[in-house]
Amino acid sequence: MLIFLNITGIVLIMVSTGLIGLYYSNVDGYRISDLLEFKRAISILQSEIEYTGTPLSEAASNVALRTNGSVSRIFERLSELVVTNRQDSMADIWKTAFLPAVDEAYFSKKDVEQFLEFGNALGYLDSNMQLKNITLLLDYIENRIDELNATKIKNRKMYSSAGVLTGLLIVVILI
Amino acid sequence: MDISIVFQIAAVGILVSVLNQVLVRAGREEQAMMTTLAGLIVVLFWIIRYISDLFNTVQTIFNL
Repeated sequence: MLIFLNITGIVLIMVSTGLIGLYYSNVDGYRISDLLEFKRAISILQSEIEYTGTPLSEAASNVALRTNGSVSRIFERLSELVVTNRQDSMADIWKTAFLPAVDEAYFSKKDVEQFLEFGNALGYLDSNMQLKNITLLLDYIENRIDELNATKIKNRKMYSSAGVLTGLLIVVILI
Repeated sequence: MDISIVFQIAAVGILVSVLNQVLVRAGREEQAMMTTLAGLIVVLFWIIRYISDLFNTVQTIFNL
């Protein structure tokens, strides 16, 4: 009976640490897909502003329709807030629309800072300024994706093996 | 003294060294050092009573 309990405990510890390792090994991949989706949304916003000159609320709702997941919800909230909230500045509105996505998506702290900085210049000065701001953000996202692609494989191997090895270590310490 | 502790220490040694290598290869030297340190502390914690026994025995043998 005691051996059976021991084996169950060992299996539980190994499986849980292995799964934690597996989750962390995939975080970079999730972050890349979120960044790609955000980049797509910003590119759509750029073309809406540059070629059709659509107002921001309409452009944001178009972006929300053409994107998926948490990024779509950011622009959904933005399009609603631009219409309903008339007293706050555009930077505040962007902040309110964007901040719930911090928990939903896999953006890092640095990404969040950069995206909030993007909001500070949103709705400020003319459309040329907006387009420059968007280009700056697109460059940032591209750089982050390149960096992540370079470290992804290394991190994936490390986290998955570190998960299993930590499980084994805990088992040996507890036995 | 229970002989199984020797095997336990050996297992911890092997696992910590492999974990250390994995972390160093991934460019995380700091975490690798912390893991090694944690392993060392765990093993020291296990053997501290045996070291104490050793000192007591030495004291008794030489009447110190």
